[in-house]
Amino acid sequence: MPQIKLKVLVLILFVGAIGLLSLALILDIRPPQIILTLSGPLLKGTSFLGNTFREGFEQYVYLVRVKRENQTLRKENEELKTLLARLREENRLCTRLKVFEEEKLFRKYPRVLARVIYNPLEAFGGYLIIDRGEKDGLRPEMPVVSVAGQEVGVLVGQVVEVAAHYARVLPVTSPESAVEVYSLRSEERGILKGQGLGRLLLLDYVPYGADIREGDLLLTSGADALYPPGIRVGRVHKIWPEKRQGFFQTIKVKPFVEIKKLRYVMVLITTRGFRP
Amino acid sequence: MISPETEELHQKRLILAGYLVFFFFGVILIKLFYLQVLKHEYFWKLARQRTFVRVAIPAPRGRIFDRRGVLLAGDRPSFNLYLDPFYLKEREDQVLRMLAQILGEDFSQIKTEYILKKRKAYGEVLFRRGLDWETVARLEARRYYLPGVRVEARPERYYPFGASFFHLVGYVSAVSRKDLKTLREKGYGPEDFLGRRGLERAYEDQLRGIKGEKELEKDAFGRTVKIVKEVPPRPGKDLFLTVDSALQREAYRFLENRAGAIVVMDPRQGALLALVSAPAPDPFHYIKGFSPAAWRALNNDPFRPLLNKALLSYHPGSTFKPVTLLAALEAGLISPEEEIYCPGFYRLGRRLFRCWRKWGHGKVSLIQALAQSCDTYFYVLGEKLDIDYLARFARQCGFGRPSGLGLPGEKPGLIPDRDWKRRVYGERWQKGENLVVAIGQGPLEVNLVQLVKFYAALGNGGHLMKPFVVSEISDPSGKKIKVFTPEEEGRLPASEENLRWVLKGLIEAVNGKHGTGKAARMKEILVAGKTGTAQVVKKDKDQKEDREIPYEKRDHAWFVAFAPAEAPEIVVGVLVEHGGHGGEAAAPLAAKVLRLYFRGERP
Repeated sequence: MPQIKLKVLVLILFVGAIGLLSLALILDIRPPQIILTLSGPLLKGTSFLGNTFREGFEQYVYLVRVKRENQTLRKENEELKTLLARLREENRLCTRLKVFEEEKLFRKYPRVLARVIYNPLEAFGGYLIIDRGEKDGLRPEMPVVSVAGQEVGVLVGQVVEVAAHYARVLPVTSPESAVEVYSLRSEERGILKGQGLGRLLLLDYVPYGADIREGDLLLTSGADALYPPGIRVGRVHKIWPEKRQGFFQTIKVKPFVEIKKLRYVMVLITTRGFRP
Repeated sequence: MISPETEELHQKRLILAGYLVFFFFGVILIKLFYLQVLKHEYFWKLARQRTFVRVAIPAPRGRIFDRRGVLLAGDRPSFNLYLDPFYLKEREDQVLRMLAQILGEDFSQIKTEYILKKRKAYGEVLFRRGLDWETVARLEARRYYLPGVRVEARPERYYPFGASFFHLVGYVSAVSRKDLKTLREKGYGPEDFLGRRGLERAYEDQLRGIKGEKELEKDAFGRTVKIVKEVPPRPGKDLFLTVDSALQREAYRFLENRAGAIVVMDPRQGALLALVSAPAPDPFHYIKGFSPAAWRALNNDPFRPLLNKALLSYHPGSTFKPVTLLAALEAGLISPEEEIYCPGFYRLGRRLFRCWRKWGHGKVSLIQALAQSCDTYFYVLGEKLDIDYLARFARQCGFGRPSGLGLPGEKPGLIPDRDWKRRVYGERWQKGENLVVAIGQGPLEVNLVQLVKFYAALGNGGHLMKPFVVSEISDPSGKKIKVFTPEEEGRLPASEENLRWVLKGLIEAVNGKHGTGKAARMKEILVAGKTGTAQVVKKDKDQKEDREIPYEKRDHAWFVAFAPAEAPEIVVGVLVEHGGHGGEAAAPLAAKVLRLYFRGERP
């Protein structure tokens, strides 16, 4: 027990001494030199501890606030960036649409702008899906042209199936697609058949001796009563072989449309009917 | 030494590895169960859906050109519409309705037609032939909605000059089920065409190409998913003819409203310049198909348009007289200067043989006998000649056997002799028959090509040239595969001097005052020729005028001529079936051909 008593006594003395010292400082009582000399280092240590503690605390609090602010800003930044991207995109879309207006493309037909929500990955049987459907006036056999993602107003394909708000588009690259086209230069006609995604198109039924050259621009002619005349489809890429085999030349055509890059398309509302 | 602890560790690892392997196997097993049992239906369908189909690509048939390279027969694409009942099954009405809309026809009609055609066809139904471009474009653009519907460009035979070349070039038509039994091993299919007549048939093996093949992958809707493999077809070989298409067409026109044949040949080589038989149907009808009524009409036509009259055998009539004359001269039975008196008939035993001129020709020399075609003169020769000798002589002149032209359906004709009579009738040869044969009647039969060949030999100094019509066979790139050159079959069994006598007679027949072939005379060129009037039925004693005799009993008119007589460039043979007198019906046609050839005149 005397041990504990001693410890308590020392503690009381220590606290008392500090208290007196502090009191002296607060009351601005000049203590005798000696006490100051003795207590100096002690005070110094105490004050250092206090400052350090206080500063550290303050800094910590500040950091938390910055972090929070940072987060907010970053979020805001992200939002702005998204907005900017969207605006840019919209701007681009607008310029594309302006091209439609300025070049008077397909003015005869009412048009519906649609976003491509699915681009095919499979080479065969690949269809595009767009976010407009029956409710927007879409029907099968309606031609589809490109808006954004590449050149404006080139042939994409035709609507083949419609749901209320979605439609399936058969692209020109599909093996099921066939489009009647003519060469702008020589007026020679042929039927352009798809060979699968990522492959060149085949221009069929062009007899040997017909005037088709590499680089010829091919446009829809309208004789199929499905695609309106004058839509750009592609360019003649290669003609082979030269030797007579069968009746027709083998002509490969590079389509303008790049199905995988397609983002926006325009569906032309052609009235249903077979007579052009 | 391994401590027990390590061993225990190893044991644990081994068990762990075992569990791991078991686990993975388990995963695989579960997946297998999933695929094989749970998804069985789905994958089974998928496998069924994607089927491989082999499609034959027809080879273009070889082309046929005339001597100047004018196309006489070629292929052009015909867009045909095929329906596949297998893929149409459940969507029949829907697809046919759309088809009706595209074709602009009535749905119910289309449906009935489809059902009828489906019953006949095995596999795909050929629904329409020769679609126009617009329809092709419309159908092709809507392929997605028309499963089981296929448009294919197939080669279709094309004859720019139609009927005028029908009997020479022939025609093609679809292989029938009957043909298929024998032809399947040669690679023919039910969709193929076969040369049926003329050159199309004679050169079938050269003209037909080798079929190609396309392997397609199809899905359940019959849509082509992928072209797996494609072997291109090899087109057939081209024929180049010796025929002049302009001459041929005009010759056909000359025979308008008549039944007959014209053969024009170059006597120096034996090359045919024209071979026409009229009338003839348009070969295109065989590709399109005849209506039953049209087919009946064609078969019942008294002009017999389906027969090639240049290759049928007829009694030659007086055109045979040069053969009799040469035989007699060679045998020394008559001298060229000898004259025979013709009172208008010749008596042999109790029978009276009449000359065509009732009141007779009076005294006739060899030249006049030919020029005026005096029958009595030849009755005399006939009586003197031995029939077996005459038959042998005629055969050496190219008669009684195929002319060597090589066209299918040629009748070799008939040269009667004792042996023949015994074989066919079991009777002895009568002397009277000699007389009839001597003037080209009786059982004697020849065809126009044989006659032309013989007259060519009379003109060219006795060289019996084998007639030919194909000069060259070449592959589609133009490389010559076979070139036909003139071929001399033999020589006429007659001396040059005797040939000259006959030639004089033939010149007189056209240019003489009393010549029967005056209608073929030309001012600037010396023509030699011989008329013939072949009796079809035995005439009554009191001969009626031709107009009163029914058509099928009228005489056949012949005329064979060559010009210039001294060095002939062409031989023209004309036969007008039931045309009456050779000099009146046939000679003017030969004259038209000669004028066209020498003056370029087109009347």
